[in-house]
Amino acid sequence: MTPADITREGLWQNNPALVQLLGLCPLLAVSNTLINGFVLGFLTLLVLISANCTISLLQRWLDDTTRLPAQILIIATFVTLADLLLQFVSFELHQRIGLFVALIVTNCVILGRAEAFARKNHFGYAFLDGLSMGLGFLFAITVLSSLREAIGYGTLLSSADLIFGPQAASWRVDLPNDGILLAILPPGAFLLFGLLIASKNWIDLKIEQRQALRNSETASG
Amino acid sequence: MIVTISKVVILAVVCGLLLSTTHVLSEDQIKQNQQAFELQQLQAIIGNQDISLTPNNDGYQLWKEGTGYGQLKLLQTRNGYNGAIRFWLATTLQGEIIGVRVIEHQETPGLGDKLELSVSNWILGFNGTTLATQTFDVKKYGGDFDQFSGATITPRAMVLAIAEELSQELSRESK
Repeated sequence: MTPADITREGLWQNNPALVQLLGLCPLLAVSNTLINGFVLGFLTLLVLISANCTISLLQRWLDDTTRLPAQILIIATFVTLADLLLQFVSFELHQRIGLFVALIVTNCVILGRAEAFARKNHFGYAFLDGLSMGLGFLFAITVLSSLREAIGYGTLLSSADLIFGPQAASWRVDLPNDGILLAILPPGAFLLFGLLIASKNWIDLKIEQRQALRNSETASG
Repeated sequence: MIVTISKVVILAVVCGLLLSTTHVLSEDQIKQNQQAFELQQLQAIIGNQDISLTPNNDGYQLWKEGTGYGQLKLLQTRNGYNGAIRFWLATTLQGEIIGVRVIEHQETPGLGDKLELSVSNWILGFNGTTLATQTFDVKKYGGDFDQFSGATITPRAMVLAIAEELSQELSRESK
């Protein structure tokens, strides 16, 4: 795999949320507002990169028998660090999504990447894989939470001041629509997430069709 | 085997050290954040910067210019629609409500969550009320407080819980 492949896999082709359907618990639970979703996605990205790098560095040192507990130990350590970081930066936001920050440990994306990629690859590749998979997850949760906030509350970027400082309070955008309750409730999360996966597949299909068309043109021409 | 186990133990020790170091370094700031957050929440309930708070055994004592003014208590009711509703209630020594704020509940979003100030101003309707001047029930049951459209259980649980606390405080004062 080339670095370009790794990036494309994580961001799109093998997107952890949209294709592998991993980490759905935090994805669906926290994506009710853009700031909540973005912050959780960002913390997941940090944990994923750190865990991937550490596990890649320690790959020769760990035996097969103790590999899994050791990986979980490393992941749990970084999650606890991320939890402390959030309390340090914004205690109020921690009050809202703190429960799900701790649950990043159980996000299968992280152990999945450690097992499937980081422990078999060089440090640089493991870093790039963590970065792309993390960004892929961040992308999915950011899109989903923007949709849910926009449809469910009729706002965007509310409470941005909790993480970006007092001047960010004015970033809030009030949309003309009233909130539709369904989007904020758990079923709405599932419905919108389904639509998101469908759109991704539709885009892939269009790209494929265009490529097939181009191929047949070059063949006949 | 010994080597394998000791490797995991070493890893655990390193992870533990890393976490304790971070904890020690961030502890003060986090505690400060927490206190600032809590104080900000409590001050917002009282809505008056002249009133100071000192912790006592079941909440906070409120002081105005050095004399006792009232109390702030953390209460809960389980009569809501789903689980416990936890809220702060601030009252004067004369039994008048200064402010109420729900801090935790699992009522239905869109129906019962009008308890939250971020959703509706309903909770502010308690400000300035006393047992003597208001009937503590929702309008459907002949009281003075609004129910929510589609949800009566949640607001009624709050109103009745507050009424009970007020009457307890009154009987305590008169003793």
